[in-house]
Amino acid sequence: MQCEDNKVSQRSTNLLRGIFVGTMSGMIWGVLVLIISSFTQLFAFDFSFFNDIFVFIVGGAGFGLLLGAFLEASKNKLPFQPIMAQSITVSVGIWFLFFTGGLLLHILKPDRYHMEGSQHLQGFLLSILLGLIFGFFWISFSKNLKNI
Amino acid sequence: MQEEALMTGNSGKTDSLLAVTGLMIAIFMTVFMIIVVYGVDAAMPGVHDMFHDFRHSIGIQCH
Repeated sequence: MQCEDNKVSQRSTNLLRGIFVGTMSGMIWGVLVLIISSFTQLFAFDFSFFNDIFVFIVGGAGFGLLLGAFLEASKNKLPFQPIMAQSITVSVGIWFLFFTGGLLLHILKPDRYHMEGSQHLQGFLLSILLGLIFGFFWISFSKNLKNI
Repeated sequence: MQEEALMTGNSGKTDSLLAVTGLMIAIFMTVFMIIVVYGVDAAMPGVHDMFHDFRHSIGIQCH
């Protein structure tokens, strides 16, 4: 019965819940992006680690917020149900939208917007990571909500 | 009742208002993220420069 209630809770649409979970997971993701990028060294950073940390948290929160809002809006329409698979799909989808926009800009202004294969691959993998973090938080959040 | 409303997200006008507010925030953040990712040099050069490292890190095309 509890399991059924939990499933109903996860399936219902609540935009604020999605935004909250998305923002929280995005902020954590932002910090992880900065740490991973510092290790991979795929490009030269313009700013120091401590200057960038706030920027990455804000950027990650924005990305996560988008993920949460779009997932809440689309999760009942996706052809598969596990929230982890849905969050990864939507996260990669949002990243791909931005990437496609950048690709168009690259075609229009190749001198201004460059293609960097290794950075795109890193971004793609990081978008999967965001989906995983979001899915984990979503499951935890739904369980905690049940206990309130 | 409140517990049920929290779980199902269906509590009438208040929840509709919250949903609309949330949607407005989401639209605002969408615009914000477009600026973050692509940059609007003429309008907000500071924001574009500030998110330069973040943009490279998540693999979006940049200068």
